[in-house]
Amino acid sequence: MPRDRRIYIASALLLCVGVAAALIVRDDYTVKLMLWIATSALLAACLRFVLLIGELNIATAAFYGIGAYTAGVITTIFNGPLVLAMLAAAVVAGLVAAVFGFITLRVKGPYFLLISFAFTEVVRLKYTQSNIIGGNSGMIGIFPPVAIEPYYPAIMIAIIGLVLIGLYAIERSPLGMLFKAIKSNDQIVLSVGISVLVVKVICVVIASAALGLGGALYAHSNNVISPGDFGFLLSVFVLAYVKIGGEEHMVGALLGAAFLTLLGQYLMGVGAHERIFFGGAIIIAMLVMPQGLTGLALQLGRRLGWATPAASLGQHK
Amino acid sequence: MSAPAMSPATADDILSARNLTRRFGGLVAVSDFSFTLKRGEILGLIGPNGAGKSTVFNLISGFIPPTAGQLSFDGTDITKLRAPAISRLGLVRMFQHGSLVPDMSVYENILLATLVRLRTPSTRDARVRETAAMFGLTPYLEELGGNLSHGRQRLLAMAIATATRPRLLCLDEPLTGLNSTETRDILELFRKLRAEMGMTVLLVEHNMRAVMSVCDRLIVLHHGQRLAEGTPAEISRDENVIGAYLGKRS
Amino acid sequence: MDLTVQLIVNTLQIGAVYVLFSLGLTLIFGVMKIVNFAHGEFFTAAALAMSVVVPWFAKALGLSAIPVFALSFCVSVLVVLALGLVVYKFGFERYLRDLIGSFIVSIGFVLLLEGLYLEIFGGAPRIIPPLIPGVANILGAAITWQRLLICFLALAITFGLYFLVARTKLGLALRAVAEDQEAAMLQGIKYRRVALYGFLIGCGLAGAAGAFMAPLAAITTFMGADFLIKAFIIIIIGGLGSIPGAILGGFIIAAIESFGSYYFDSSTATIALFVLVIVGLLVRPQGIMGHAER
Repeated sequence: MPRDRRIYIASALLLCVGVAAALIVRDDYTVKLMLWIATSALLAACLRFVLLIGELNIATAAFYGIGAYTAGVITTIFNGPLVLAMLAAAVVAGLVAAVFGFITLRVKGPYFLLISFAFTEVVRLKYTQSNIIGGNSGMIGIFPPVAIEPYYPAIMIAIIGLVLIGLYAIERSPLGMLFKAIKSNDQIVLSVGISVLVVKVICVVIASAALGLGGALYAHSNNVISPGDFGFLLSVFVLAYVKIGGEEHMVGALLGAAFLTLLGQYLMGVGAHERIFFGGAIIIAMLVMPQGLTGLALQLGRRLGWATPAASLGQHK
Repeated sequence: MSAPAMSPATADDILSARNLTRRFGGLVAVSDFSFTLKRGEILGLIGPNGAGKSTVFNLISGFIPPTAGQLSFDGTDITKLRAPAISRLGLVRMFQHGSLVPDMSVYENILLATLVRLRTPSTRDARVRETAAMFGLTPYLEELGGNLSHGRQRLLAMAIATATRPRLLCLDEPLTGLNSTETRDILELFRKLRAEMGMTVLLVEHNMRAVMSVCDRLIVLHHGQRLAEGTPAEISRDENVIGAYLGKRS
Repeated sequence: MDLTVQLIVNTLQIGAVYVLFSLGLTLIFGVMKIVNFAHGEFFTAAALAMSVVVPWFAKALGLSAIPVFALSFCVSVLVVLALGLVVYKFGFERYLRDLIGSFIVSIGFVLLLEGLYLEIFGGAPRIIPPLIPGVANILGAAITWQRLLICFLALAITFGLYFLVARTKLGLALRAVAEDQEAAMLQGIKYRRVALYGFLIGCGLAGAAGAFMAPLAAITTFMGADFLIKAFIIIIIGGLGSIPGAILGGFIIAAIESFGSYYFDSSTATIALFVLVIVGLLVRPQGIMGHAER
């Protein structure tokens, strides 16, 4: 428990610093960069959240996009309030995820993985076909209300930070324990009277609702969304964040997101090289450091005789 | 003393299976198998490897659906129910292999069993500690399940199943890997569970001496069918059983 | 009537290449229990190799079209096999039977290889001359001779693979491993070796499909990606790991696509395919030819 409390206090502090920075910093590019890191972190945390039950959710990009489009439609086409747009984005993404999860998680095997991939591409295709939401070129002019526009980055960072803390709290709750148990041994979970399918669907729904909300936030900070933003490649990059950061602990995924987002910005404009770089990085990460950067750091720490936080990460009390 | 082969279901029966059959492709694992379990008894299901004991376990606990036949548990038809629903009714099984989550602590493993049954953290905590104490696992609560010795892993598996406070506890080879002291303690525990909580126990076990000493009644399964049924004393004298099973062992 | 025949002919001809490609994917899944997202890259590699080798052979050897294509086909498939060996040794070998780990590795190779292709071959589509000119007429349906020939060759390879899996010792080992890896190992089958052979055969099939597509389509560095999504749908519909399922699934998808894109448009056809998969999963989760996994 003390360990958890420390983590919550630290993240609350970090969140305050982030919000303060978003309010104080005047440089547009720096603020944009902070928002990119925040959204990448949210995406990484949500992808990792579903990894807790042992499923890889390529539709991370799709649910993010569903949220973005839902929010965009509500604020630009129906002139609805931003709060409603954000709630609706989370609800719609969550509902779609419930149906999607129920169908794909019933069967053992790689169905969830494969169909989440196909689903992402099909949803993207559907956007390009729908003229009301701008077809191929997407939606433009998605702005937050003028009154709050100056504070929007701070609000966005605050919401994302709270969602991240919420996801962590769920992971540490009995529900999160069930996720872990299902990944490791789903039979035992069934035998004590818990429907594995229901728990899995809940996991996917929570992650997707968070993604939907994230998509709504992104749409209003980017002002423009297009089908191409939500292709499966986005999920692949997010997967790289999680894998290179280390999936063992949520902090690893967040660090990976921050690290690769910054690096990606640095590498921007190199075109094909970006793919070679990311591809090579993923392969090297998988061959040399399967536990990611955080795993590598912990290993190094252990070798140097420091405390071994890894050993206590899995403990409940 | 021995129960008739197909006694009609009475209020005393906690579980009754009628003409239970399961085929896998062309293979018949369990064939037209009927039996009843009386409330509060300890019934041993024995038979050579491949006799269909594990399949019977999987069928009654809802892990695989029967090809034909009916199952009823305490007056409820459970033929079509799936594992979680059956478990919530109070029929809980442990597995022969891997009946625990290796990368979670002993505490968390037992806690799993309380999640759908107890609502508050404090009652859950109390149940976990009480159950752990019963199985002598209190010193290992913070230990990872996978790091326990083999014997203690069996104890943990039983503790998980017991923590659900089942009305019928189905144990698949719980004694493998236990030394004689541990075995004696566990057998004593079965008797205690029955006496104090009114638990009924269905036991699949290869340790013949233990089975003979603890069970009220035995059913011998052979090629997916009932070969014999009766008290341990009757079974140990049964010609068919000696020929098919006991004889080979000694 | 003519239209129906034409659409059926199209179905067979597209389907034959889909089948080859999906067979490789399903075989690799069956043997290694991994989903190879880099499968499309082998397809692309073969097509790109053809785009280099065909003009080169034509010029250097001065042979006529058929031998040039035959030779180029062999070279391209060999290139793909070599690439497959590298990918296996530096990636999949450590992630056999690890669905998520192998997926991540394969995605790494997708990015790396697509990046490299773009670097080496550039973004512009490449075209190679037709294998044989002319148009055949079947029951009023027009099909170019080269499509007919390629369709025929693809079917021949499919039958060859079917024979290999059904009748040979290697095929028996592949089936045994796909059915139950542990039992197969207990019977003395060297799993890692069989996995490697299975993987290489799968790569070879993707390569053959890519080489066959080379004279039929504009060759781009991302042409494999389109095939990949369809191949996933095909093997899910057919049943993961099932060879007859992949064959049947390939033709079903090709039929839906050629009829669907005629009567509607191609994106609608793709969406219809997806809906079909979802409905299929609800009704028969194990696919047409698959076994239920419990």
